[in-house]
Amino acid sequence: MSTKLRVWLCAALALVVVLLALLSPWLTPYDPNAQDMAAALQPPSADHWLGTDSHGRDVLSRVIAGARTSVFSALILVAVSAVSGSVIGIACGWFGGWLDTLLLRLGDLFLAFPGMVLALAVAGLLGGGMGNAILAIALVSWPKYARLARSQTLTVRGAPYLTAARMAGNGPVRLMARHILPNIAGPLLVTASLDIGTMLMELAGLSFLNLGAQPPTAEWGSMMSKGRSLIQTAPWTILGPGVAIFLTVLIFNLLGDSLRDHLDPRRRARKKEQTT
Amino acid sequence: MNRSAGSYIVRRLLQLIPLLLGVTLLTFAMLRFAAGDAVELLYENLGTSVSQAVLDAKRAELGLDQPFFVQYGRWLWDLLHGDLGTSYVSGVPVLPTLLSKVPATLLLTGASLGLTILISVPLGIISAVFHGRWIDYLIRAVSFVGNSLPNFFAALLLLLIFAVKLRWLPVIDLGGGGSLVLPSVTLALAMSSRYTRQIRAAVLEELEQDYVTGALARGVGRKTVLLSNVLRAAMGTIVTLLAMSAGSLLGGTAIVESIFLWDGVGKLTVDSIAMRDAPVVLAYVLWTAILYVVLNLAADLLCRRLDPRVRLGEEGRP
Repeated sequence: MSTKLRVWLCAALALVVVLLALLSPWLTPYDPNAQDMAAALQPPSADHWLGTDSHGRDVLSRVIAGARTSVFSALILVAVSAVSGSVIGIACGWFGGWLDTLLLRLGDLFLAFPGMVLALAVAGLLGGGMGNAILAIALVSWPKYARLARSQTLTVRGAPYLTAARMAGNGPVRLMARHILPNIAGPLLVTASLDIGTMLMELAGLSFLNLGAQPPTAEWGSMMSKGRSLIQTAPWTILGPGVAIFLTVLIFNLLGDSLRDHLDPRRRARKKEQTT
Repeated sequence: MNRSAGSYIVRRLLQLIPLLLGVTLLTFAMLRFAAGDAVELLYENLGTSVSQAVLDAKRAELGLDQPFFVQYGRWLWDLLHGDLGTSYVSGVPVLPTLLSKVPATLLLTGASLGLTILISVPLGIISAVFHGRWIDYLIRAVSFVGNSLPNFFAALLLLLIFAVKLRWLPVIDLGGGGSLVLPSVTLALAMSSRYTRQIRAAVLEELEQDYVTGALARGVGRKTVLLSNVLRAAMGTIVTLLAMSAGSLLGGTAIVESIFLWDGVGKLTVDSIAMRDAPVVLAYVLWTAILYVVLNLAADLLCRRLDPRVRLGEEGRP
């Protein structure tokens, strides 16, 4: 299979997930927050495909509604860290000097430290909530992008087209946005797409520890956290959201992987070598 | 150990100081946002409603009414005297509490690292040696799937299969021998998936080297080359990987420890975070930061021993 076809295939799958998340309010068979204590903890049936939870809420509806929270938060998180990291990295690479040293050292601080530990502490101290969870993880994940953007900027910095653009009278902001960014976007995009799955898992992990989404919001990690004590009596309350996380992460990882293979000419060349 | 290695170690350990200052300052700043909560939460959990005066008195007792940098300075000063403060919740000194939980976490970390090596090294080598064959594709597919499995889901799945359905192991086993199995397998699953891919890549690269071709041309057996040369060269990758993931392992154990009620540092932290018990959380951040730097240093030194081509102090700086 050509790498291009693989990218399109994975992108289509990812699009299905995003569409599902986007259209979730119209796709749920039941109201995801409607409680019905008489119908609590029912195993999967024709009425409730994935069963009901301890409050009698339909698990399938909550999984679909949870897609919105889980997938969108992961996408927002990746966007926030990638954009802020790239802006900082490009500015560092372009201006250099004390700004570069300061921000680079600050970034090293986070890179030199297990991110999840810090995110855990930060999310815990800020208190629960998806916004705080996103903030906590973004705080430890921007340096990766900054480092990449900086090194990429340094490689294109001396290029003739940049000198030309500069002599044409472009200011630094325009130079960075219109001339540097488009030329270094590839590797940043690959890193970002590979990050979506990991970020989704980390956010769900924080929610699992009650540091992310708060009840009654449907979110995959917190649904599993609720189902944890019911593992012996109602395992379907875990399996539904668990499989949803797993499949979503798998799809985004496949997308990132295929995108990397496609955009990295060195890998492509090696692949060709292997097949011949 | 020669002199340059000695000064290198000293330099690396000195780098620890700004790192520790940075992460503790950051954690402290975050704590400031939530400072009021700790005291209110404390009384809330005791089930008593108290007047504002009592709350203020408790805050004063814990030093929470002081300006930010005074609090931080005081904490640093105590730290230099080997005192990590006392828990807001239990009133017990933090350091002995933390140290009493360390053996359990180390046991879990060690067991899962050992298991990871046992799984990923053979699989990575098989995958590289037979690259392009069905067994390679199978191993790569399995490791890709394993990579997409969040550890808390893996933990619950293992519990569901082995404890609930098959009843081979108890769901919650305090102190029994069987209790180590599920948490360490959970941790090893995710790590093995990552390692298998990396080891495969390292061995593949090594197999393409000229010396391998040379050795094979001289009539040295394939097995001998693989075991004595290639494996030795790949060892550096394995050691670096182990050290790098030790950090994520120490963070990841927080979730796994609390699922399996494993009484280690991670569970202590999750419980403390729920109570906004800042001194304990700070101690945890400090402990992981120190461990992380020391482990990475150890890995760099070990890499040099394994592969003389590696020069200290030149690792990957652009």
